[in-house]
Amino acid sequence: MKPARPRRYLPFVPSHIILNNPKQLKYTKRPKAPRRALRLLIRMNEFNRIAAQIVAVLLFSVSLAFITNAVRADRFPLIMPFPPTYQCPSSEKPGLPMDLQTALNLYGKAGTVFIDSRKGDAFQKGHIEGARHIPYSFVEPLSKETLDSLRRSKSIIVYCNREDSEASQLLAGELAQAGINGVAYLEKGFTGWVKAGGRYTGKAPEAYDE
Amino acid sequence: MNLMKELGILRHIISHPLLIALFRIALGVVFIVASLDKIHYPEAFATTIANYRLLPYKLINGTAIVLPWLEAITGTLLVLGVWIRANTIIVVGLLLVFSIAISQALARGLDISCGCFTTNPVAERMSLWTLIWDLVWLCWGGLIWLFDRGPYSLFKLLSTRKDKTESP
Repeated sequence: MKPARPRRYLPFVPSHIILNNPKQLKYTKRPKAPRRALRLLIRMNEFNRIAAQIVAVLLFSVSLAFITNAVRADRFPLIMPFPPTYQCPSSEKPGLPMDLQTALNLYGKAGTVFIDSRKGDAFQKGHIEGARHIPYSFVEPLSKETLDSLRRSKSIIVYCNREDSEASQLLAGELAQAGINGVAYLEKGFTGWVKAGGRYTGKAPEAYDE
Repeated sequence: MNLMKELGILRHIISHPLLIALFRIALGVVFIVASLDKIHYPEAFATTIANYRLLPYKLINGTAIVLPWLEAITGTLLVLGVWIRANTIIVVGLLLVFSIAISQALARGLDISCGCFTTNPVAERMSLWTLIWDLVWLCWGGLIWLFDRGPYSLFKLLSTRKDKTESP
């Protein structure tokens, strides 16, 4: 019996078009996507196979988690609402507000401290004259030294650029939770302070406020 | 020389297929049990994650939704013995992340509960023992990675049965 002629594959011809005879193209059914993926998985070496399996497990878990969350009656929001809740040292609340006029009256008096809760570069560009820089970070609790240095103050006013900025509210809340008295956040923030004629150094916040 | 011999015996015992399969199933069960409470109370688990102060708060809820399911699925796959090496890597990775989270919380003096098996905020506070237990599980995962080649897995079980039914 004559041995079967080996199949030849033409370059640039898709693999599902198999050529037995140079004059005659034989079309076979292209395998469906899941089978192609399975074949690919089998041909992979150990490292790639494990990597593919890890990705598959991660994707499946993420999909299942979000689908389950979407269909459950008490759907859980994907982003934690403001203010964030946590219990260390106790549940976080935004601090009390202080209006601009009261802050302007308190400015320069003994025992009053202004705290700038913005990031370093914003503070460098401009800030309330004499303000102390304590940038707020959700992931970084205030140090004991910082808290101890603030305990002697009578009135602490925390500010950031605008009223709706979260940093000043959260920092004021955290200071109050840590047992510091007389803490409040400045309504309308640094922008409002400059408009109301308060003293400041550097540029006005309009120049760099996003 | 004696020490080498004893180590060889120890390795032989640890790498016994049945023992390592039991190790794997135990680790899988631990992950499943750990995930149940978190899946049921995602809000409480989100608070637990927030207490660590490791993530920006906008990412916390998403993590609280996904992480318990990842634990549950990898745990189940480990118990069944499906994709053992891939799942062991995920489990070891998760344990590594937990170890880092616990270490930083201990280093910063955060007085919080670890949320490992329960989301109850007044549960037992985190201590050095929490970290030690986590590292024990991490080594446990390492042993599975090294020695478990899946002789007692679902795939092997099914293929053995198939062989038996096919043989005359």
